[in-house]
Amino acid sequence: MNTVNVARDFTRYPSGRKIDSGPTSGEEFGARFLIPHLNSQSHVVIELDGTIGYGSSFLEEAFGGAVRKTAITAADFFKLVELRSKDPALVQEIHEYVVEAARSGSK
Amino acid sequence: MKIEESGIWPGVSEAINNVTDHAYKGERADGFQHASDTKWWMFTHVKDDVFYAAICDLGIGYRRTVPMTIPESFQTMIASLLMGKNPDSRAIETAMKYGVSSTKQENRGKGSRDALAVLKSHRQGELLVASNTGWVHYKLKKGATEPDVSSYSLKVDIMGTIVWWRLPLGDLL
Repeated sequence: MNTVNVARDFTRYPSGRKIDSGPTSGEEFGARFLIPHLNSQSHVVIELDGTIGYGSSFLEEAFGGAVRKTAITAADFFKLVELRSKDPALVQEIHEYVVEAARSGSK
Repeated sequence: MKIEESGIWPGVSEAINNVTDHAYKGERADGFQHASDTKWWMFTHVKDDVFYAAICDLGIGYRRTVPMTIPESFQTMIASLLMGKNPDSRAIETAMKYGVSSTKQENRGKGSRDALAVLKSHRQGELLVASNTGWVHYKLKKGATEPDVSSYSLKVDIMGTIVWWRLPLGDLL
């Protein structure tokens, strides 16, 4: 099973939405750690704890952006991506971004 | 409390992200041409176990960015609550309440909400947002669940936006 620990494998300081905001952006995270798994239909565990925190733009672009770029359904996304955190509100927030991105993409 | 739980990072990073994403999506009314490579300025300070952070930009301000995204129905609904207030203050409060600060894409613009969320995750503190001729002050007292909100008019137009936090560090030290 593939496991990505955001703090260990990406950055302890996630920030920004688009890649042009910097190397720790949500778009960069999605491109490196989510989209490849979604495209290859491989399971991945994302460990969210250990960073200094997540802004909304980072989360929306990382997770919602990955959904938009792969046109995956929310149900299929969560079959492949398992989120782990001690903070249920963080997981819930990401869940909402994924569902909304899938819903918007299907319009 | 750990620094991760304080919410400082999401609030500050989102405020900067907001600037780079959309604070400069239009021409300033005064035509002032600032240094194009510098879009924002940040000040941080720790004094007497209190952390201060301020982010400033010289963009178009809340009053012009908010109407780009907030549905008319929401603006109408909230208008009566903000009646009589300075129009820039109204825009700031509207953005905070709606959780949107700019851009037409539904997936964007939660950054204003993050600025306010710092107070709740930090469990106390103050947030001040000043934009052009208005400013709104949020103060969350220790033990309170919702911040006190006050809005004011400035006697001058600062032609930009300042987001400022005052966060006691007692629980972090």
